[in-house]
Amino acid sequence: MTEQRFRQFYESTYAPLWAYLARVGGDHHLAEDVAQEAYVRLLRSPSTPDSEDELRKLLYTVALNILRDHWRRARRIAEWTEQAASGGEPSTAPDEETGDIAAALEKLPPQQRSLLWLAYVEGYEHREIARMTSLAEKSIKVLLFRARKRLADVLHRMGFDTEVKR
Amino acid sequence: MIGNDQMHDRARDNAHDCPREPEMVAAAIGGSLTAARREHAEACDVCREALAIAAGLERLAAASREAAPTHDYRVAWLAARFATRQERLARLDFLSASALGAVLAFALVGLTMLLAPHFTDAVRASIWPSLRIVALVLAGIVVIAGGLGVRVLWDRKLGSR
Repeated sequence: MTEQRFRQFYESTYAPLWAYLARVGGDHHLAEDVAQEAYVRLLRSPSTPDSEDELRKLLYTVALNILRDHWRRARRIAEWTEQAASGGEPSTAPDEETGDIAAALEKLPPQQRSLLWLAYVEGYEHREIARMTSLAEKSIKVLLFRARKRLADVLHRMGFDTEVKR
Repeated sequence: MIGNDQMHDRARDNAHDCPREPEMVAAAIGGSLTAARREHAEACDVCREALAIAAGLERLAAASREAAPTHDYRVAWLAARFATRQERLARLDFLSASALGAVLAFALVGLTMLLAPHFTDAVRASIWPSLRIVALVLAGIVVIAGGLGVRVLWDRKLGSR
């Protein structure tokens, strides 16, 4: 990859990647470190895709793997599973515009946060998410449904209206 | 014959699943939520909830992207180049080290014989009459090996660009 191409790619992807990592990992400093490492690993990979979209997907995949490795090393892999939602205090100060959804998202396990972000913010299809998260494509639909339901429930408990008849 | 409970479960599953949900979310993200799609969302609990979640997450994403720290791309670029070079140095295997050692040893012997012939006179007279000739041959080998080494290093440098 040429320096010019990397510069353009970096400048167009850094902020969205950081936002994703910060919301999934719940730690701004960790997000910075992981993002930086992801770019370095991407540059050092023997071959990189020509397509901008594929390169972006590869970047998110690498970043997610680094984030998982971090948790694994820290013996916090349990937080990645369904059984152990963090439920802790939000690491970011909520504001009027995004406070409810940010706080609600932090109450979900990282896997659910990641799936929701990839599907509803980045707009990836189930097939693409499956490749990026190393999960079976068939299970993405179910996992995503559970994640969305859980987020909606948390938001309802917080008094946020997702306009769903119950 | 389907019982009431089964019918209730099926109705609940249907209420939790809409085949148009991915299309609706993709349209919302892509800014192509047409009137027809909005009409469907009004009538479909699943899609309405998905769109509400997507809208909330998009607001959060926009705020998060604005809060992202700014970094110069060169930090990652230079870090990657440095790491790659470190890796190349580490790859200097035993064979390369042995070859380099042999070349250096030949060079040392050859230079000693050329620059300090009195040092080797005793050896030459006793055990190896043609030592000076051998030294010249070795010096020639060293020059050739050195030239090849420079060529290899130059090729590697070009390859790393």
